[in-house]
Amino acid sequence: MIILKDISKNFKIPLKKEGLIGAIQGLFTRKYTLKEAVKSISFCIQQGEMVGLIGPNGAGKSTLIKILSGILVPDSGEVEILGFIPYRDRKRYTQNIGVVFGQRSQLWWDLPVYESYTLLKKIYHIDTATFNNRLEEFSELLEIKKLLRQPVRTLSLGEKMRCELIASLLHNPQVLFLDEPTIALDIIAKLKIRNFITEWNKKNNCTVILTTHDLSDIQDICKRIIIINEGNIVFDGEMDTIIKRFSNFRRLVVSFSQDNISPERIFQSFSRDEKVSLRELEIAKGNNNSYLIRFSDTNNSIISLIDNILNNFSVYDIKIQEPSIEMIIKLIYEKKVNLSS
Amino acid sequence: MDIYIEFAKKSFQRLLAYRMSMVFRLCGFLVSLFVVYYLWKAVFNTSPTIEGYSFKMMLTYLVLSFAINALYDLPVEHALANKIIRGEVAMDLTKPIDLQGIFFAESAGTSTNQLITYNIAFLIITVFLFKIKPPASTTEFSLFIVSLLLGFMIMTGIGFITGAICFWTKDAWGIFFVKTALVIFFSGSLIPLHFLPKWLENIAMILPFHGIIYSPISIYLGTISLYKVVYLLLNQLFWAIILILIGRVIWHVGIRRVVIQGG
Repeated sequence: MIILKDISKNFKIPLKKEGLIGAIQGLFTRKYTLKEAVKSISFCIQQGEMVGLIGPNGAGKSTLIKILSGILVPDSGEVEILGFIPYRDRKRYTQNIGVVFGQRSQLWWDLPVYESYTLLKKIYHIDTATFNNRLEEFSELLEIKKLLRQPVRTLSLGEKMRCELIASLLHNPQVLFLDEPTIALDIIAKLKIRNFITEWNKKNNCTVILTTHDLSDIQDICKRIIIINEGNIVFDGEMDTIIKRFSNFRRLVVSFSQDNISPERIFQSFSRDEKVSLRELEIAKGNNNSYLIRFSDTNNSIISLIDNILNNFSVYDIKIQEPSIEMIIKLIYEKKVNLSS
Repeated sequence: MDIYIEFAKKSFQRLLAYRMSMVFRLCGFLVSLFVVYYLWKAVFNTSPTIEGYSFKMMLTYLVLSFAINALYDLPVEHALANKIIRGEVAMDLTKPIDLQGIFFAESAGTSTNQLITYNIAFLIITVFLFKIKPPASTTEFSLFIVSLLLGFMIMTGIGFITGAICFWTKDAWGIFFVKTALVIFFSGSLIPLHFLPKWLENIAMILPFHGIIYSPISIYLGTISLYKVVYLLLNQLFWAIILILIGRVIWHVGIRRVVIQGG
């Protein structure tokens, strides 16, 4: 159970003046700007929920997850997790949580992976039988068995992230925090990690909070999503709502392998198909010989659109573009999308 | 408790990887020892004893001072400072561990490593070369060991405070420079403290640093009364506790100021 009430956090950032003279001036007087990273945020998360915290870079989601995991002390507001106040009861609280930060490592750089795990075993007082069972199970599932004897510094990014994930789960935490866990990973590595987290969440009824700036990262695995922008909550609700409302803003990107294509010709080809409503189509030329087609899902099935294009033109490639998180936030602000269902 | 032993073992192991650097350090220490050897030899040419020390005692003092210093020239406190400056301390804060305890454990691991790999070689060479004075008696030798351990607590306590101050300074260079200068001068590394002018000696004996070098070596040499020995040991114990407590306070205020760069 996670309760957050009116949590705010500001950072003082020193302003550096330019050049040598500026640097010398900075020795005597220093000006600061106040950055409000998190502004009065409140929410409640139940045990066993899997929540995606999403927002563009610098939205405050990392700050928030660091407050939740007991690293940062909020300037104001109340936070209570599993009956603890994270920053105050740090030592007892952290016994119950697991943390993975995509940009930092909890493994000991110059030790073999296995030795890092034995240190964690001691830190969390895990008994040997349980430790061996879990490590066996996890390393099987995440396919890292043959990496256990390698020093951490020799691992690839994807391998390291899988090892980090195991490190955060060995003590069977009740809450798992993942800050950009799939940052800079390729799609296969991302999938492995996603599947593992979902399975594990189901099996152990453990709360998972995951931050990302990429919607596709969490749309398959999180039921609930909290969108953050500039330190404020923009949306807090069902992932389904977001998917449904914003599927209208998907775009089809078609690269043609024939010349003499124009938006008009594409429109013409659709006019013969009664399933397509031309009114809600927008077609724009992209680079090279590709065109962007924006359509409304309510009236136009994506299948009939693609069908039509393939029947009438010779096509080199078709992509479906999901709206980015920046676009979703912009649309919510401009009230172009009604989120109350 | 076994977690601290585990950390001590790990940092002990880690140093074993740097064998070449150990050889170079040994050579460096021997060269500097020769320099001070000739310096003091010239000084003692003018009179056979100075401030109650014969040349042989002075030489013993210097060899032991170098040997103790070598125990502490360690990467642990730099590692702590870097963790704080780069924000890596965040990961440690998500673990149910006491970072001051870990710091002491890691220092103990590296010091033990230094003791058995490097100090023993250093002592064998110097005893052979300079024929230093053996300890006054077994009692004095065991009290010397106790004093050395308390000195380790003082030095490590200071090291932890220095590292934790980086929460404010955001840079390690200045604060480490100040620390090193204070320790070298006021611990009696270069010169026995009672060689100093009386007022300076008094200041040095008020500060905690004399417990690192001067106290243990004075006990080893047996130049002071038993009453004074007990006083020095209690003084060391007092400072060890105070410095650990100061370190805890600074740390707890410091982690409230954690700012983590990079989102």
